[in-house]
Amino acid sequence: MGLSLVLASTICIVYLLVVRRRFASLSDALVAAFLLTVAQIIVTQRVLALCGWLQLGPVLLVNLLFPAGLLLGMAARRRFRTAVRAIGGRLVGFFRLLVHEPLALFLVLVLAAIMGWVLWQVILLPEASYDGLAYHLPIAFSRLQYGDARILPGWPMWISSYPEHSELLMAWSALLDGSAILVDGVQWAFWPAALVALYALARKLGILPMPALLGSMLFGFAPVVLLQSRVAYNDLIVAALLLIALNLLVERSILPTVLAGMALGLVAGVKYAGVLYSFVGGATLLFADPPWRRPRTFWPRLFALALPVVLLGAPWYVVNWVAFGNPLWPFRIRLGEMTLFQGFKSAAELYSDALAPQYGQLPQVLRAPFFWLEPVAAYHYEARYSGLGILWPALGFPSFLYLLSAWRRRRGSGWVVALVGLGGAFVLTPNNWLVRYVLFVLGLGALGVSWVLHAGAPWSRRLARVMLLFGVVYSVWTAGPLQMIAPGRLDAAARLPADLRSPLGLADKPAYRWLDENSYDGARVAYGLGLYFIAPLWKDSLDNQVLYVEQRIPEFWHREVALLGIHYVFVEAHPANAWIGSAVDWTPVYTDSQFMIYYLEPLELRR
Amino acid sequence: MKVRRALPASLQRALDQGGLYLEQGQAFFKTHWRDLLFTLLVVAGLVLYLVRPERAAQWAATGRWWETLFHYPGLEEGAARFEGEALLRPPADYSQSGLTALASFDDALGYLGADTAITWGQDGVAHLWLLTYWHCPVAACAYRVRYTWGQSGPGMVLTAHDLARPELRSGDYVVDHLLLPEAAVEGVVAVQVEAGGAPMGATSPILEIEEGTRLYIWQK
Repeated sequence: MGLSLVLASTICIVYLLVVRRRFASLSDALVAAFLLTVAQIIVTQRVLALCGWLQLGPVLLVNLLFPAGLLLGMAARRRFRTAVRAIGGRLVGFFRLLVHEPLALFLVLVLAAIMGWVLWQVILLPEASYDGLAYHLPIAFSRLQYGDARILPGWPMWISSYPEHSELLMAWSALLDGSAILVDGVQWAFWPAALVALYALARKLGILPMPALLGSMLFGFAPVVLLQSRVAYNDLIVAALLLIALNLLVERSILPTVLAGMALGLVAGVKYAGVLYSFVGGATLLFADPPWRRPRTFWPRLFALALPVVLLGAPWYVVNWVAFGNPLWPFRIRLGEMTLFQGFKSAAELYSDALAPQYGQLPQVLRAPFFWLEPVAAYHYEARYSGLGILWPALGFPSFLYLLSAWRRRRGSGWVVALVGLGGAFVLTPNNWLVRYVLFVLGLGALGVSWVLHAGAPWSRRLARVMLLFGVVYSVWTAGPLQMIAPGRLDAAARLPADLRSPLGLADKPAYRWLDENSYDGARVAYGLGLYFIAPLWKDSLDNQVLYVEQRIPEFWHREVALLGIHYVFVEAHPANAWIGSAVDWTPVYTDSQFMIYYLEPLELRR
Repeated sequence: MKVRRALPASLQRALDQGGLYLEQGQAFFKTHWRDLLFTLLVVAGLVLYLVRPERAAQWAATGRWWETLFHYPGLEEGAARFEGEALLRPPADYSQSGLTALASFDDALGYLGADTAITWGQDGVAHLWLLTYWHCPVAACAYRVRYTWGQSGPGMVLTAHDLARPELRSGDYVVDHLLLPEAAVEGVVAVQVEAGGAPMGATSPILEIEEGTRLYIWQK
């Protein structure tokens, strides 16, 4: 356990040493190194999958060779020591500033403690999130199971068509660690990355280091960030990559623009809505660096931005187009009355039940502000009706308006990038009332707080500092990184020996528990339409092979399952599935009101 | 022609002073309107966020939650226990489930499956328990189950239990359990059932059988 983390950190450090000279600030070099690390992990796995070599050996070899080559190159040019000294010097300078600002020092220490606390939970507690078990982890485990780039057969329908960048990060963890212990912590790494990106962005806008740092705390302590950082979702990844992209877009040279394009390309491959942010990136470039003012730089930069987006993001949609006739499958895409691409449902239909009926009367435009005030009494990683915390309505949003009021004075490309980029992304995101979809909006508040602390009147600065401290204490008290955990569970998990901890949830569901305890390692398990929690079928040890066999024609289904050499069939105990039990030689070894497990005799099947 | 009468001096002074204050106020507002608006919005945000019924429910739940955060109630007396030890991970609840025999001993005794429970022992370490489920339709159920650990040869004898003990039985079903030694946490556990001192023949299409009598039931 932990090889994935150690290797990723090593790659990141190597990239930091390599790119440091290319950036004026250490924070920019840090986000660039992080971005290159994420890109390397994703791209190498994608390429190896295309070659059919997505296995431990090739992944380890390629990802070791790449940074080793870079290091050797540096050593040959005798740049290694200089780079280490320069980075050390910058870090010492930053910590000297930090110790002279007690509030910033206090908040940084508290945040570091909470980050460690959340990581500890990732290790101790099983991943039990809804979408994580339903399709994010099944995509990652299936990709490893097949070891190639085939269209994944699977239900829910997302398994076959969802862009897989975040799932490839989960696959990296499962492959290198040989277990699912850290798969729910993949988003965690994007938490500090987003903070550094926000800090770097604020510094580029001319804000002093400590106000820039204090402002970023608005993002760091948001309850939704704390909760998302320990589940196998992808919303924190999207927010962090978008902030990284916007930070790099402020720079006018080509390399940061290419890296920004890389970040936006990665976002496009994380989730469908990520495609929209590529257009937001293009729009910010247009507004910040318009072609009629700077034709010499605009077009090369636009090309530098678009090329990585196309190379990294587009392949997922091209594959969908070829395989399903619709790049955004399963969404039905319409333009006015014309249907451009046939799909299962439109986005509006798919999200029609996302909003509870009591909120249905709220006008579309008022939904987001309404949920910013958190009209519920609890937090949840799904973050539908709460999650931004007290800091957003009571400090972040007022500070953002304060920043807007200074717009005329501060108009410059940096501000345009930040405001058009984050504001545009917020407006374009479908269902932007759902807090976790628009985590990046906290960036506007963070920049606003930084601006108030930097340029506000003494009274406003004092008020902002008091509110920041109060909001952080309140957020930690009410949201806490553990709000989703039943009391005592952490204590009980900490007392369990490491090899007896379950990394995947649903141990309380007897059917899943039966399969985990009574099927032998390496069993082939088939499931059919309707089952939603797929990931535990791989078992805690990830030894099983899990196959989806589509139930189009029931008469042929038994034969199809038998031909695959399946040992166990795991289905919902639904009346519509009653015909499944009619097969000869299928022994129902487990039944309850929700699930049925059949055992198939392998020797009989081979006949 | 009318001549305007001068205002009384005190009133004039007051008006002048008022005008001065107004000008100062205007200048102050012109300079600090952002800060005033910011203050107003911060207060409004705070009030709108905090003054609502959901907050009271949230604070009450939060208070209760913090009280129990670091404290596992299972370690206290009267909490859920297994063999006198606090449960860290309870066994599965198969009371509403239908289990089919995975193996049969002389077509008389059915082996239904295994499960585990983890407890916090008196010795301050976690204990792993192996639970086995049996279908025993005969009234006497006079069978003795011998558990061994290790796949090669007869293996190390862990324990031997009589299924006839009434405390294990509920109708036709018997639930036996044994404490696994630390070394056996990762390994293979085999069972052999004896009737009248002689081993019973085991048949199973699912589980591995050795010498026709020893059934491998559990490995992690």
